[in-house]
Parts: sequence; structure tokens; C-alpha cells
Amino acid sequence: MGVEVTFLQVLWFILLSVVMVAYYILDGFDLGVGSLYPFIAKTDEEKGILRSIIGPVWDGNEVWLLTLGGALFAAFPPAYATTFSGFYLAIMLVLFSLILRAVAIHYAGSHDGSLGGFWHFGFFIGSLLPAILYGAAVGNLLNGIPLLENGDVAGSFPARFVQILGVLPLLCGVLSLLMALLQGATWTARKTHEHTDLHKRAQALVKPLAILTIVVFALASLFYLFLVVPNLPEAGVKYYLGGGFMVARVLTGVLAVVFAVLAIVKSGKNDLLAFISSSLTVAFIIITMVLSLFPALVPAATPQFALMAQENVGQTITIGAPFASSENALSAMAIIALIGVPIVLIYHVIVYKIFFGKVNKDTYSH
Amino acid sequence: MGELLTDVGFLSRFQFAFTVIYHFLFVPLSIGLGLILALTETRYYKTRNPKDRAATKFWVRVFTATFAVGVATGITMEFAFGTNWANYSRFVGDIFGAPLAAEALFAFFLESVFLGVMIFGRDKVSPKFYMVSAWLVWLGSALSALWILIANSWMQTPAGYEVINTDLGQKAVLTDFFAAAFNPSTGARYFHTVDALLILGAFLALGLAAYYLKKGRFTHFAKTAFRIGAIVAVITTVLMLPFAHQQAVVVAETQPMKLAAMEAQWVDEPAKLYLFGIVDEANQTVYGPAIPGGTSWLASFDANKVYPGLNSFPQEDVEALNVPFIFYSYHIMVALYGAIVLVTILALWASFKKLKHSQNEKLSKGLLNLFIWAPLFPMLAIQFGWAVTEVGRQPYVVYGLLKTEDAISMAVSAPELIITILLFMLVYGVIFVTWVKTIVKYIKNGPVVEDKVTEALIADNVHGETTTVEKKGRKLLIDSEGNEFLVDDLHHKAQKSEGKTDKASAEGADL
Repeated sequence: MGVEVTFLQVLWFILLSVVMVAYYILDGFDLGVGSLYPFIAKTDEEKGILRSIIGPVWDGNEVWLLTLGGALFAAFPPAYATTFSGFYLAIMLVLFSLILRAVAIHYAGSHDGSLGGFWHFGFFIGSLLPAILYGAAVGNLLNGIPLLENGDVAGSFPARFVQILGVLPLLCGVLSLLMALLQGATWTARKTHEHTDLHKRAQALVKPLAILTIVVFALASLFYLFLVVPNLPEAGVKYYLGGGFMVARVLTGVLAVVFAVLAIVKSGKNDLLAFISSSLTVAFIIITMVLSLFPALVPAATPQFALMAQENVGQTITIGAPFASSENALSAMAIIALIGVPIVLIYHVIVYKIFFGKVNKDTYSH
Repeated sequence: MGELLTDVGFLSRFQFAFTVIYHFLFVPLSIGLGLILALTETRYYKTRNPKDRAATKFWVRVFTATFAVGVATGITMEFAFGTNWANYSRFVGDIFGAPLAAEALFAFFLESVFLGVMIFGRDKVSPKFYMVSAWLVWLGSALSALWILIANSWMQTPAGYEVINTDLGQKAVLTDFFAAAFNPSTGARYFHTVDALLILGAFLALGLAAYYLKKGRFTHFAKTAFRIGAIVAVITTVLMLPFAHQQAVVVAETQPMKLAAMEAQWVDEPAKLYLFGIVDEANQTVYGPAIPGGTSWLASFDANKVYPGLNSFPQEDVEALNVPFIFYSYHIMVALYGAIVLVTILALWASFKKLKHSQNEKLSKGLLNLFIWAPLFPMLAIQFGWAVTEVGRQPYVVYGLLKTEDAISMAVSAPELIITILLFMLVYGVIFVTWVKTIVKYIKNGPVVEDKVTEALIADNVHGETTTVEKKGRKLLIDSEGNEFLVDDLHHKAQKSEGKTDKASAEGADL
């Protein structure tokens, strides 16, 4: 069974994937730095340096997430509505984390005294939780989600919250955390001076993190292929699992591993290349994931838990009709993207060029 | 009360109102102060006076702390459409999503990237680039207001769409992008709103300056900020007249029920303009002085033009409308504008008659106190004005197309909402306290002298731009009037003054 899709619908699926890759490469290192923060920074000065190496860019990096949210809302409204309302508390947890992080990065250095400790913790936990929850969300999508006929996620409140816990979500959550940590470690190594303790600590983490990333990525892939896919309902996600898509996914999966190895090899010799390799690992893992999902956005599945039992399984939300926005809306947005994205890339070139160098002190101006 | 706690519709509205009002406290501060910051930096670019540089640094600090909260609480708003208004999202996504994506692409990136330059880049980019960055940050915030107001205006006056039936139910689809984006109320709403935010920025500059003048601290900074505030206040307050008029015209033409509620008018007649009044819903009257035909004249320049009263609209819609709240909010906003005009006139007089840099006159304590509290006028006017816009659109979320009660997320339950409402109150409360403490600290510290050398420069009355030269192995600093200073001397002075910095800046007479 196939799904009819138009050029613009596929284009927007690709554009959303690109935005997701850009977001997780860029904000990935912010989240990674935040998650490593209490472990690799021992002194207040080192903490200040860690906040300063993401200081000028993290806010712009996070805008990629807002772009992703806005574009998903605009291009595929039912997917946005179903997932955000269906996983209400989990999404709210991401939201509160991001709020805490945004405020904490700013205020952590400016407060001496009691609340200072709270903001340091806020920066850490506000980075750690989203890094895990993003992956857990993806794991849930790959598992398939019990849907009602009206498109909502099935089940009442406590059951719906329990539903999001499972083996694949757990594996994917650990994987997305590892991806962010690898980004954070390579970025820290790249942005700090050699011979400093901070630099050495970050660099020492690259190898174990890269190896763990490969291992968990392999585990999650095998689990998905052999334990999840066979149980998916025919009307679920089994559209493009064979043929060219299988070859493409094997290829992107292998590339992800190759670049993780390259990150290990380059670490210590050329920290910029190590960071770029790590970024490409992140990119190819995400591409492997979206190739597994295509052309579905929210695959329908039969409930895993007895307490969620129901008779009718709703339709899988795909990128085709009636789930996609109208061709008019998609083409208007394509024009907006055509004008906007090059401008945004120019901003990024400007700001990363200005702040290209290494950082050796807390440059926040409090 | 107990019923409300299980009412998902009520709880969703309550949460949205709480989070959006909170967000809309910080957005006006950012957009208003952004202009003051850009103007201050432009002044420094021209004068190259270290005192003006210190002033910019002060505004950057205040702006950044405020902007950080605005950004953080803005994420909530983008998420809220999906989390709490899933049926709304399904109905309007075809049209409403595009401006949100465009806002991120065209506005948020601009703001956040160049704010990074403002905070970290003073010594990394040229002075010109730095000044341009300040303007780009402000431009970004003004563009973000444009896109979000396009989205909101479409909810008030939908255009460029058709409603179709799909397997998933009804939804609005885009037929004409430009008709939807520049719908009948976009232009009027944008200028009316953004101008109000700029008035707030001007009043904040006035208020802060008045505070320092009252304390006798940072007089140079205060007089400059007061002048910038007074000039911006005059321009924006005058512009508000045509902008507000145009907004009234659009409401009268496109949302007659809202207009009737604003003046609490039940029968069809030329709309009165109440100066103030008490609404008696049961008897369908208002007690208070009114100009007959005043609102008709404002909306159409014809005092005899008849506008429909509330009794001419579907009664179930009118019953869902909180007429007294809309009436009071609207009239408080208008009254506050009167106060704003008064303060603006006084500020202009004070700035040009009393507070020239060459003068040593003082303002009376009562007047200074008025200026210190005056920022509350535009802030409250903004909040009440926005309440009229949103509450006046009820019972619809998209005017005439989709009712608010049909827009909620069916998948979200009351207990989940109560959990998140409590969490929002807690987290937002902590953030608010921290923000206030931080701003108070910044205000106490005043304009920011970045290093001891600059401080010594200011103390020695260096004028304008400086250059450093080497003469016979000694470093000399020459200012625009040709005065020479020995750099080692300045360093020496700086070291000596280090111990007393706090005291010096507490007195702050030189700034």
C-alpha cells in the first residue's frame, strides 16, 4: 500500500528534515555543553568559559527549533496538533527545560549568592532533559502511536503518559543525549586553548562518546528493524521499508559510523575537523531516522497496553492529503523559505566568523 | 469554582491568558528599549565620548536581561497552539503556520544573531558594525511584531481563505497569500501596537533619567537619556492619533459587535463616546458623561452615522461577551493616553528648558516622581488595549469562523492543565523575581564604565575621539581638542582609584 504524495509535500518533508539536522548540529553542541557543564568545569572561571563559548550563538541556534515548530505547524498541521497535544506533559517538560536554560545561561554568571547555584543547575538540567526527550519522542514515533479516528492520540491521561515509556524510546533518548554530548565535547575542545584542563577534559571524552554513540545507534537500529517493524500494522509505517530506501538507510547509517570514527581520529590533531565529523555523524543519524519514517509523520499503531485497548485504530498521519496543507500554502511557504534561508545562512556565516577564535575567559558582560 | 477546575476550555484559556500576558510584559519592554538602545549607540558612534559608550553598555545590559525572558516565554506561545489548541491548529494551520515560520526565519534569527554581537562583540567588530547591529536587533524585534500581528489580525479579520471539508473535518485553506497576510486589520493593528510599544520605551528612558536626577547620580547620562526619551515620546505620541483613529475605523467596519461592546451600546444609534462610566448590563445602560455621536465621528467623521447595538447581534454570541470588561478596558486605555500626552508635554518642556547639559537647574520632586512612575501609563494602556482586542473577539477564536470552545485540545485533560498552570506560575514567578533583582542591580550600578582607563579618561575630561601615539618611548593619548595625556599616568590613576571605585560610582557625579 502506497501513499500519494506531491512534489511540494515531499519538498516540505525534506525541508523539515534539513531544519531538524541544522537544529541538532547547532543547538546540539549547546545542549551538550550544558549537559557536560557540571562535570568538566571545576572552577567558576571554567564555568564562565563554558557559558561563553556558546554565549554569542546559542540563542540563534535555538531559533532553528522555533523554525521547525512553525514549519511543521504550517506544512503538516495535524502532525503538529496531534503530537503536541497527545504528549502534553512530555512536551511541557521540554518547554520548561528550554525556558529554564534560556534564563539560566543569562543569569548564572550575574548572581553571586544563593540563587547562583540554582541557575547553574538550571543550565545543566535545562540542557540535559531536552537532549534526552527529543530522542524519546522520535522513539515513540518510530514505535507507532495509538490514534483515535479524529486524529488525537488515544488513551486518557495517566495511560497516555505511560505509553511514552518503552525500549525504543529509551534507546533513542540515550542516543540523542550521546549525540549532543559528542557535539558538546568536540565544540568545547575546539573553542578552548590547548594545555588548559578544560580542553583536556573535553578532548578525553570524544573517544568514549563516539564509541558509545555508534553502539547505541546500532542497537536502536536493530531493535527497530527486528522487533518493532514486524509488529507494525500494515496501515502503519510499512510503506517504503524495502528496495531503494533500505539501501539508502544502510548507506546513511554506515556514513554516520564512518564520521564518528573520523571524529575520534581527528580529535586532538584538528579539533575543528573533529567537530565537523561529529556534526556529520549527527546529520546522518537523523537522515537515517527520517528515511525510516517517510512518508509517515505520525504512524498509527495498535496500543501496547491493555489499559489503552480500543476498537478503531486511526489513520497514520502522513505527508500526503488530507494531512498536508494546501498546495497554495506549501508553495507560498516555499517562496518564504527560498528568500529566508539564504539570509539566515549569511547571518550564521557572519556571527561564526566574528566569534571564530578560542575563548580563554568569561566574556559575559554582567 | 469547582466546575471551572474540571473545565478544559476554561483552564486552557486561563493558561493561555496567563502566559501570553506575562510574555507581553517583556516584549513591549524589548521593542521599546531596543529603539532607545539603538539611538544611544548611534550617539556614541557620532561623539565617541566614553560617557556615551558607558550609556550604551548600560542599555545593552538592561535590554539583554529583558530580551532573555521574552525569548524564553515566547517559546511557550509557539508550543501552545499545538499543546493546548490542537483543534485550532488543525483548522487554521494552512494559513496561521506560515507567519509563525516566517517570524522565526525573518525576525528571530536577525534579533538573536546580532544581539550576540551586541553582548560579546564590542571589541571584535568595528564601531560602525556595532552600531548597525544595534539597529538590526531593533529591526528584528519590529519584524517579529509584524509577523505575529499578521497572524493575530487574520484571526480578527480573516481574508484570502476558503473553508473546505476534509476527512478530518473542516479547515480553512489559503487562497491568496497577500490577501491573508495584509488582511483588513493588519496595517492598522501593526502601527497602533508598535507605536504604543515605542511610547513605552520612551517613557522608560524618561523614568530612569528622572530617578537618577532625583538621586543626583549620573547626571550626564540622565540628561541625555531624558532628551532621547522626550524626543521619541513626542513623535510617537503624536503619531498615535492617526494610528488609533485608523484602528477604530477598522474595528467599526470589520467587527461591529466589538465596537458596540467597547461603548456598551445596546440599541442601534449614532455611537456615543463615554468619557467614563459604569455599565449596568441588566438595564442595558451606562451611567456617565458621554459625547453624543462621538465614537461615530471618530470612526467615520460623521457624528450621525448609526452603528448597530448589541441587541442586533445573535444573542448567544452577545451573552458570551464580557461587555463591562471590554467597556472598562477600552476606557482605561483611552484615559491613560490622556495622561501620556500630559507627561510628554511636561517632558519636552523639562528637557529643553530645564535639563540642558550646560544648565544646573533642578526639577521639582513632584515632577520627578511623576516621570518615575509614568512608564506604568503606557504599560497599562498596552495591556488593557490588548485585552479589548482579544476579549472583544469572543466567543470566536477566529472571528465568525471558529468558536474558542471548539478550538481546544481534546487529548488534554483537566489534571494535566492544572499541573502545568501551577508549574508556569512557579517558574515564571522565580524568573520575574530574578529579573527584577537584576534590573535593580543594573540601575544601581548605572552606566557601565568598562575599564579603569576609561574611568580615568572621564575623570580627566577627555573630549571626543582619542588617538594613541608614541613620542620618545612614551605612550600619549590625544583627544579631539588636542589635549595630551600620558597613558602610564592614566593607568596609574586607574590603579589608585580602584579602591574607591564603588564610592566614586555611587556618587557618580561625573557621569
